[in-house]
Amino acid sequence: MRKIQYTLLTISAILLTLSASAQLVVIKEKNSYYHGKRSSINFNFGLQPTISPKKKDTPSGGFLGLGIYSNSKPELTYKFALNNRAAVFAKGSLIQSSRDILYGTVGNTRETKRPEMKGNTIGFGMSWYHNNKAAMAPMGRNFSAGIMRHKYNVSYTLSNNNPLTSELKYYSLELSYCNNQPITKYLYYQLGFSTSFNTLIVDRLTGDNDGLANALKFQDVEGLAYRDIAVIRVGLGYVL
Amino acid sequence: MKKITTLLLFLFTLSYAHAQDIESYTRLQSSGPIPDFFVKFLDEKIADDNDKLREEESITRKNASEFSVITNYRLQQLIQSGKVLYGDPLTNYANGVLDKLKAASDQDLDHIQIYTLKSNEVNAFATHQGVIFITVGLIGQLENEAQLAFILSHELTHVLEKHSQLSYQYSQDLIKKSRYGDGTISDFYQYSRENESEADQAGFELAIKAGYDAEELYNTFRVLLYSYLPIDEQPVDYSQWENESFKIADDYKMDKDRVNDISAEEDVDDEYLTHPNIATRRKGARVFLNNGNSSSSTKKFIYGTPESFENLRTVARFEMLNIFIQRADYVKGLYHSMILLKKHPNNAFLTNGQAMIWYGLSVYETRANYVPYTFSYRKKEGEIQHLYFFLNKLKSEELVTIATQQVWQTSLKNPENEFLKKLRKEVLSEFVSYEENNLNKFATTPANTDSLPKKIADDTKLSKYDKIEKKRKKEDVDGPLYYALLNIINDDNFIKEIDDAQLKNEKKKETDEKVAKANKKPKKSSLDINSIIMTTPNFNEKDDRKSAKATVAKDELTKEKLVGVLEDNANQLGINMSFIDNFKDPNFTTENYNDFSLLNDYLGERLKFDGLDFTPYSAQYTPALTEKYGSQYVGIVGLYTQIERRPFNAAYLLVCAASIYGLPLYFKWQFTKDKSSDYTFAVFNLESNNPSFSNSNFFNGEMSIHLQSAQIYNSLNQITK
Repeated sequence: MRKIQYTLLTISAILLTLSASAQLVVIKEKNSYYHGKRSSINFNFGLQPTISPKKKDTPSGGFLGLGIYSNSKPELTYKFALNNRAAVFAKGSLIQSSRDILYGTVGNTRETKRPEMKGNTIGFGMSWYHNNKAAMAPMGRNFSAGIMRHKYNVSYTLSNNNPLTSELKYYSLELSYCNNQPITKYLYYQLGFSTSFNTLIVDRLTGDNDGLANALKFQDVEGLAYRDIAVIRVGLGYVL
Repeated sequence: MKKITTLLLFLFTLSYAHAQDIESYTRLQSSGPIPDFFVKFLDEKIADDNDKLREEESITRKNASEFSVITNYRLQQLIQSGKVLYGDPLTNYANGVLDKLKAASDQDLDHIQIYTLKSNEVNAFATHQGVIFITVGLIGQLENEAQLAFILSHELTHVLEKHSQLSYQYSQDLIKKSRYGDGTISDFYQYSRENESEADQAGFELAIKAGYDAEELYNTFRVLLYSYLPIDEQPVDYSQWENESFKIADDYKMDKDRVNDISAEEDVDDEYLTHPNIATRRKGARVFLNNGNSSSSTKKFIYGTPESFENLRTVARFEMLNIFIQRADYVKGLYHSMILLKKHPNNAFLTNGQAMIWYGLSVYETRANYVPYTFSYRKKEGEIQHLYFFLNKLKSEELVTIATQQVWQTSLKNPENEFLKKLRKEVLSEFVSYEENNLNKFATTPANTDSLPKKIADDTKLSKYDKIEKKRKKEDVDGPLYYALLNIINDDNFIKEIDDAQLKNEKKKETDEKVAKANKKPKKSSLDINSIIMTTPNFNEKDDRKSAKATVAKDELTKEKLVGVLEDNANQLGINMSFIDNFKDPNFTTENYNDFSLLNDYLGERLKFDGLDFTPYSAQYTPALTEKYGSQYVGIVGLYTQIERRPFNAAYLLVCAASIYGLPLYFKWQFTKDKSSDYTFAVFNLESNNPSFSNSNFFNGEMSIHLQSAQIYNSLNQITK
């Protein structure tokens, strides 16, 4: 009885307000953010298929012998809400992984070790929050787009102990769709998916693989070009 | 000790019933300590009730658990609707009669509780827990205490014989046995009618044992038969709208012979009725009485006296007017007040009520999109049909003119009543909104009645042109309501306030246009609320996967959580929030209950009208609330979630199956539930009687408590500085 009554009351109150909005106090929507908090910090793991396994001693072959391995990429993101529906973010990550076995001949030695790859990624971007999923920045379901800068150092110690290094810098456009749902009032978990398109794909098509150094570079390009194409994101965050 | 308490209660009720001064009547309120039953937690009630039901044989264990949840939940909704009265004269009197019945009964009736429901329907009902509800309309229509005693003992029998449990069990068995065919439905009604006949008979037995007059008990059926008619049959007195020069024209009055006869039939087909028809019930009663069960007692009153019952009935009838007005049932209310005014002429409550009805009629007639009452007179019965006819024949502007006349006359008679002053100001806004209602079209001096016959005689001597001019002049000036405002048109205040109303209407138009422009570019918030009266949030989740028990438990728990969430967010934003209907607060008292009841009546009445600027009748009592709670704003929060299974969709399946990779997507869609949530936050201004703010969102998904909290924070943030 009371339920029905209240339902009717609230509905009629709303109808009344809507039908007569012209005469009501006009309120500009103020930004409330999530419980009045604009910032959040988030640590997440990107799980991705890759041809550059993270561990050095990963047996060759990978998934179904296709040379595809799973890799994880830890990321730290800081978000700042601009209003209830949008936020800007900056993020960074450190990456360490091993390349696949490098094949080549230097002098009389055939090199069959794994090169090491270390790098970092920094970037910034913007997120938009879905109103129809009860989202309010920086919490809830959101779509993000960002520009990332990746910098890698690949090093290989030749059999004659001479180091061979190669440096790579490239940029990517990262698109992601994530769901930030609260566990407690301010602590939340993140689940999402992201994909990115990078400038390496162009390099790969135009690169040449003469000599070992070039071969190394070429293999890096090949490994990294499709590295972030499909990433599942799992993380924990806190609203500051 | 028990006897002393009963005696004290008895004396208290008697004195209270007499103390209710009818001359200064306002509204019925609850009094005394709040019954435990009102504030007890629902899960406790369900658990206790379930334990009791499990020991009974009338219902199986499985059904008992579902039955206790459903009935307790509904009972809780009813109790917490603010429509229930306790410790008021009506309930107290009924309790007094109950004591007499208790004394006569062999069974233990200590657990029986009686409450009064604010409704004009003539009804009484009992729940299996032993709670009996009687309505204000019932007391208003009964003739004496014996009839009340019979109705109470009838309901008592339902409780004692466990009719509710048995009916539920019977219906569940029927569903199990067969599909719900026509036969089964009529079987169920047959079963229900048998229960009613049993209750009639046992009711008779108990009431006669208590010493009541058997013939009067029998007459109760007469009350029930004609309960749809007003409290009395009296011709409509047109003179109340007339004055020395203004007489209601015959076109507006219904011919006496066109009036419908009273059609109430005793012997209606009751195959699909829960109660046997009146003829069957009367017959049953007659057979019972003739079987030597009749008593020699001719007592119509045992607990009270004819005077105290008459007093009580008057209180009920006065309250009925309040209910008519709250429900915007204006025609019935008007007729009701006319009857009461004959007996209590110049009673301030009744004249104010009538003024309110006229004001309400003028507002609904001028501006409402939806009108809750009807002027259709063709199917109405009894003398009230004349009133329906009269109102039907009045054009809108004429009705508003009569309304203006009535409101102003009442206000001028009670110059100190602020509420009437407000009404008379408001009714003029409606009055001047009609072009026809130009003051030049109303007479300022009474008609010279002596000259009328002369004029007719003179007419024979007039030339053709004089006659034409005179006729045209008459048509111009003398509308049927030409003299209607004679009593008020010469009042200085009236002229002044007419000008004010015109100015106000013009200004309103201008501001409307301004705001409409401003709406495109909203300016900064001008709502600066730092204190708000809050009603407890209403949460309801409809989930077809869960049992009634789980749903009720979740609803109750979430409501409780949301109260905390609202308080937390209000604290965070520095808003002073006072809950008016928090039954779970240990400090919740009868005073709070009465406040909530008033607010509920107010909102119910106000929101019936779907436009702005309508002053409800209950608004005369709300300033006390505003002062007490330190805020003129009332907040209402509603959260509704619906979780449904998705129907099978062949088209989706085909599209997805076309590429084999789409199938998982289809299965995800098919096997996840369709969830949607509705969130509403509205703020109502008690001073302007208009809504101030509303925020409503629809979400595809279920909202966690933290997201609900975020939405509430957002809404509260919007109304603060």
